[in-house]
Amino acid sequence: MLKVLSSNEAAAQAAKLARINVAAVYPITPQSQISEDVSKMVARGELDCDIIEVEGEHSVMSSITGAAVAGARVFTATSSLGLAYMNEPMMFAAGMRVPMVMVDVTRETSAQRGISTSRQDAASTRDCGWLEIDPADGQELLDSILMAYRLSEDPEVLLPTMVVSDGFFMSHLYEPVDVPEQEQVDRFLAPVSERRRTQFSDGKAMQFALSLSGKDYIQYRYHTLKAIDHVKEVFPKVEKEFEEIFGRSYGGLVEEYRTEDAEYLLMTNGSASGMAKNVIDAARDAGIPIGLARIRMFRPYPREEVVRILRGKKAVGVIDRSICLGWNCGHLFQEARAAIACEENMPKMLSFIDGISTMDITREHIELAVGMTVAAGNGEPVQETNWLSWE
Amino acid sequence: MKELRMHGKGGQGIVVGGETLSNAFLNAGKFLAVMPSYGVERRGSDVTAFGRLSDEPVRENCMCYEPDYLVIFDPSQLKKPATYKGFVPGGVIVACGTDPEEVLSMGVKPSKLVMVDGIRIAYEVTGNNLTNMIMCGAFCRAVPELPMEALLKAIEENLPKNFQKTSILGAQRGHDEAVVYTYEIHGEHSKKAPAWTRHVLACREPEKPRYEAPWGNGAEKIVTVDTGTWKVVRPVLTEESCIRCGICATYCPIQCIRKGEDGYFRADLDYCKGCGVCAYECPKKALTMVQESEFRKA
Repeated sequence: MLKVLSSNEAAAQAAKLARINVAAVYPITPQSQISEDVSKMVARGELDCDIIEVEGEHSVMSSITGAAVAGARVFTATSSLGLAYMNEPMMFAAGMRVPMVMVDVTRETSAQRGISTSRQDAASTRDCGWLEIDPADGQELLDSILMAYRLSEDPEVLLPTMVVSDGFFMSHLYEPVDVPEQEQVDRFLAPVSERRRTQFSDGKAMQFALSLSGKDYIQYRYHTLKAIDHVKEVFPKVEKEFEEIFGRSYGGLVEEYRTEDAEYLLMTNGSASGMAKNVIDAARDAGIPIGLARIRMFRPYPREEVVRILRGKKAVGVIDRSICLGWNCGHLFQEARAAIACEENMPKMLSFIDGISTMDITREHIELAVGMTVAAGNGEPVQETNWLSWE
Repeated sequence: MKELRMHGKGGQGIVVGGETLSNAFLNAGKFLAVMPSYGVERRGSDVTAFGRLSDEPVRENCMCYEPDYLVIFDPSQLKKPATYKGFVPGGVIVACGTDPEEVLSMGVKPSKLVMVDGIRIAYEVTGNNLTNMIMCGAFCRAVPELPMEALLKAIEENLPKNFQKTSILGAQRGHDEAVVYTYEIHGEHSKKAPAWTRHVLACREPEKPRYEAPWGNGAEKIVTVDTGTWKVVRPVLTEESCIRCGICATYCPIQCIRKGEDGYFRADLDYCKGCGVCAYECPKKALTMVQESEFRKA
């Protein structure tokens, strides 16, 4: 049924539909509405879930890790400095192979102090061992959270998943969202107790997060890595099954938009993608053969897909809401460039940084990125990294 | 695709107003995506909301720079050039106020201007400056694609029970008491050429900041938010009743009340947010909170 929801409200609806058992929450702008909505659902008796009240995000992550180990389906949401504060227990959760879903509502990190948009927070956790899904709107966020539980709890995966929602440009945008029926979700998501490989049982003592060294240590590291990599096979299957039940799908690990005969490409993730598609339609009308590759899964990084899509293009302009401090470029750019670097006749790669703080990724900025990408593809000396906000 | 922009103040229910319009359009078979923007949320500070209206689901998640519709929820926004920035000639303006010249003198060319005395109605209906449903009602009057029934249904189905009576009354009065002005607009609005035609090979670099890190110079006057613009009411002193005790200054949460050379304590209206704590605490009831609209008239 279509309901007008913000992405934050849609995320809370998804958590409820997933029948989460335990949530730990700590408020932070722009995520607080998710915590508030989940708490209200519990208070009204609409959701049978324990809410753990904690004093900060470090304890949020630690407590739900414990609950997940004990067999609960767990949920939380955070943002920016909250995500940074839980960085250490996030690594535990991944290393302990704990299935869980967290929504990160993106926000800039300090200092300079601010509460506006940027994906610097999410980008800073890219090597924690978590899976990362990047939906583009409220509907896809709701659907991705449901898919994330399936993925996270898959016995061959068992990894925590972060679903990333752009602060304000998604979190505070109200639009009609199709909220699925509980019965449909129940068909898609079996109770967590049926999916776990490691079970607690009476009289059986178990230990978690052991201290290991040498080959024992790297053995588990390697297996975690393999599990992350395996997600590239599992996710398309999960999405296909989702489509069969709910009738919606989003194009797998990387969504392609008008790429088939494209000579140039833009690359985005998250909320900037909708306007990018509009600009691409307009550019096509003006005779520019350009398409869009939207990264839907950032961890694991879909390098094979990226190479397949980028191969043979003249130039690719990558628009990022985050900055690799230490290499003047964005994170999406850095990874795409690394993936395509071994190809002969590698396309000219450009990094565009935009949409940080209260700056909007506007139609005009994306049009400018199109112009510079085309110029680079035609051999003109275009600067590799450009901060669109200054133009 | 039509763009819509709303301007008002925190506390006037613009977020809920936008959400309600989105629900109303959904009832009418259309999609309205609304995104409010209010920085660090505070009652009285400027709030803007952006909306996109389409027959299809809206895929852009951006602010609006060339609105076809403007909805102005508070008279304080009528005289600000930022309110009208990018307004498409021939579009529709729905404004909280009574004098169409206040809008037209800002250089905009609407084909339709709908004015409603929202603040007066709001005080009569809710006892405060909550104009959101009144302006939604006036919006229905301005935009025939949105029938009033769709708005009333949205209110009934989505707003909390305890707000419904006043919301429905406000929406209805906003719709009925709005005054519609129409204008002939000549000439086509020319859209800007797409930026890809600009032939830029490198974006500019920012200037070097003043300090190496985000520091401020404590010796300089601290530039704060212009909190004086947030108020709806202001304290007015009746000197005959005042005993110059200074209790008002003690209780003022933002410490903007100072003792003058004549011994009386007065609020610095550049900072006063109109919270009314001073008037509440005054032992002699020498302070009265008076609506800002009284001073605008003068």
